[in-house]
Amino acid sequence: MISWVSSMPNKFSVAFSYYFKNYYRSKSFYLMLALIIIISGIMSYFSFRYQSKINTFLDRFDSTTITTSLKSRALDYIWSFVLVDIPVYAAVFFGSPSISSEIEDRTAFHIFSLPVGRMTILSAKYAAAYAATVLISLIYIILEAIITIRIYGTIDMSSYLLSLMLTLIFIASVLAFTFFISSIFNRNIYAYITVLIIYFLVFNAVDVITSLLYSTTSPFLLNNAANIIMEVFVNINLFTFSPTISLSPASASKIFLAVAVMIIYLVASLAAATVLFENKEAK
Amino acid sequence: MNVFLKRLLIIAIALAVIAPAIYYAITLNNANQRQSDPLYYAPSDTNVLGYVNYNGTHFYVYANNRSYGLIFDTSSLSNVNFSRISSLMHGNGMNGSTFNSSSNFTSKTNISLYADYKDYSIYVIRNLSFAFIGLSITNQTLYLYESNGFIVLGNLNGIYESINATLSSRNAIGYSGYLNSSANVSMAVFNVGNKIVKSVYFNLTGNNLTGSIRFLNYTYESYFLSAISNMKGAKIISVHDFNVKFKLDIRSLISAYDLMGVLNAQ
Repeated sequence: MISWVSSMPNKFSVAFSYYFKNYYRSKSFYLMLALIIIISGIMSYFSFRYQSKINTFLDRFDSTTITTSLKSRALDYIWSFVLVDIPVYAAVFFGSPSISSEIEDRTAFHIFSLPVGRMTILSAKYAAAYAATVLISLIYIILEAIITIRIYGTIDMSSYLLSLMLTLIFIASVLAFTFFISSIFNRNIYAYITVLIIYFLVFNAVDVITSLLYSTTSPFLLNNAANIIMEVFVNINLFTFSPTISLSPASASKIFLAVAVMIIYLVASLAAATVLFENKEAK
Repeated sequence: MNVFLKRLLIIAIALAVIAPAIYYAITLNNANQRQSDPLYYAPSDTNVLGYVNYNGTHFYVYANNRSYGLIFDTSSLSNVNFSRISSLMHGNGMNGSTFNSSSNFTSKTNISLYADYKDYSIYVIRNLSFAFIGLSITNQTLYLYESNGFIVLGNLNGIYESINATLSSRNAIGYSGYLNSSANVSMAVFNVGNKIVKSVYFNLTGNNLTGSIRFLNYTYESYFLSAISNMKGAKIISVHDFNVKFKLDIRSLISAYDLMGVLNAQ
């Protein structure tokens, strides 16, 4: 028992380094890398080119209150607007085929016969996919800080770090969700499509209906919880039929609620994925 | 480890985390939703509570014998310029500002930071003049604070009581059933402490006013019944003990003067 427990971290690190190498050598990684570089480039260009538009937007409020700090937060809000979708695409690339590919590519025969527990395999794979997604997202997040400081000479560091922390939690959550979907299917394509349909179609449809019926967005949907990544800069919710605009950051209770929702998705998805993976049979 | 036990352990651990997280999330969400109710910002010991919807701008009113206030939801205001007040709460340079709104605020209004009170910043507006639904106020000094997208405007006591109401949860949310937000004007007056009426509720939609008055004794109830039966366009719906329900067409409001005349005479 003791030897089994002591060998776990070793097996995990071996499996992690193997899967991480697999991820960053994959076409998916380079595709995401190319996309993130293009998106970051476009955002940088727009930040410099349309810098004055931020002033125009803020002019709707009051000229005496437009400080450099507020402008930098408004710019970070716009960058985060794009950021909330990046982990979703990265998770779809790295998470969706994570389990289904083992069955589809028939590699499960070899993996399941190894003297490594399935839980170790799954956790190592999840950690590797998490590392790859964080790596991709960090390129964009770091560039966001550089551009903000370059334009305004300052950045609201507390809001920026809070947004970064929330992004890391969101990545863990959305990745766990894709692992769960992947554990249901034996074909990659089904896993890809299902994740995209649920996240961008089902969640948004539910959102539109709740907005229409109750004039509010449902805080229990993962896509709405992810909006906190940008709302910690400026609390603007444009996703309802009656948008609310406040130049102050989101309140602490709103942040805690979003984190709680992300943790629920994270734990529920990981537990479900683990149970399903334990039951998987190599075909 | 036995596969069944392993599954059981995973599910048990997951439930141990998810159950409290769901409870915590629901509690937080309920608290957030309460904060998005305008009456969350009105104190519970209010005697007058009202809702006004005029040309797309709607707000709530609260008052008692020492304080009063108006609660605006910034997202519901038809003129975005009014949200300049909101922007003032979050920046520096509070020395002076101007704002215009659908409520015809003057352009020379001065707004400045008055005091910080229990984590809220209270602002003072001097020389405030505005006209709204025929009501004209000139050169008044009012106070305001902003919370969660709501702006509360009132006298200083009204602002203090509103802030205390939000912090102590002694708010007027429980009275929301008395107001009809589909009416143009909905008003509830209760616990007024006079010798004539216990409570008055009325809703005005278009020209139709429906109301309910609970009297404290039969004498004043009979005065009212005889007066309203003499008014043109007025109709008594029901009389039950001290409670009178009635309907009124406000185009014949001139009759109100008749009513006052009759009441005075009696």
